[in-house]
Amino acid sequence: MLVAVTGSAPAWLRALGELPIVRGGRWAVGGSASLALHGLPVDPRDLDLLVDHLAAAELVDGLRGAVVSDEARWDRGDVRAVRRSLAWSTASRSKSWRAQRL
Amino acid sequence: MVHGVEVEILEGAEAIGPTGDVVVASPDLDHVDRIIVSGRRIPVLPLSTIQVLLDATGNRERAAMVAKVLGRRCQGARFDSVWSRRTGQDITVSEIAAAAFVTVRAVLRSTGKWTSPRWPTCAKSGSPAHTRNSWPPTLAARPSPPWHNRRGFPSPRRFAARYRETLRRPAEPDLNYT
Repeated sequence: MLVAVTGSAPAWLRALGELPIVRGGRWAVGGSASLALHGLPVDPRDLDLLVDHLAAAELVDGLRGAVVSDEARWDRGDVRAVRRSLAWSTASRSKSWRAQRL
Repeated sequence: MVHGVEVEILEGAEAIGPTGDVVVASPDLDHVDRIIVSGRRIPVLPLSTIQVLLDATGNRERAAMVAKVLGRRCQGARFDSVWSRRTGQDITVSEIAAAAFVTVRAVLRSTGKWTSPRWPTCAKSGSPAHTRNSWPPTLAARPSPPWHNRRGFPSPRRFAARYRETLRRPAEPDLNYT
């Protein structure tokens, strides 16, 4: 039971499975995680989500406690965005906590 | 947090070139692949879109990797190869749709019910489109009806105009009337 809960899935994949459900907007996984989901041999370290306005609001609201930064007009030089939010997923911690309880 | 994962949420992300111009606009989030993760259908950017983004951001190595996979998928676009290659993994909806399309087309072709769409003709000149250096050059000439547009496709506006003209036209005299 414990093994089934924690599993061997990488942290980014578990975090993906525990993202808040987006009802109104449109979003998609991008970056290295999208390559891995398509079966390419990459090892994603983070989760990049491309979203529209509604989905951004819903995701940030759903990840409320985990959002560490939220900035408008973000520009990295090669990529820029209307809004960029950064969150630390709590998926791993909550899963292991649940496993201990079981 | 020891095992935390950074989640980056980007709204309206676009790739910028060295001159500051937009090289690749925000990806179309209406056209995504769906991959099942933990029982949830997760929207994922299609590989073709990812390839464009990787090229634009100068990530040549990964772009080449994606191109290789895309090339392989195009070569083996038959239903059985798509299915067996991804068995045991999650299969994207676009792959299933492509496989279904290829299978249905093969069945219809074998029964003779599949017909390729005709090449449009030039309605304005009344000549087939291939006489204007278009491709393919070997299609049969087919004059377009007057309610087709210049590209050779039916136009509701032209059809309505034609219908109105028919209504306005006075009835021809019946020469057999005595």
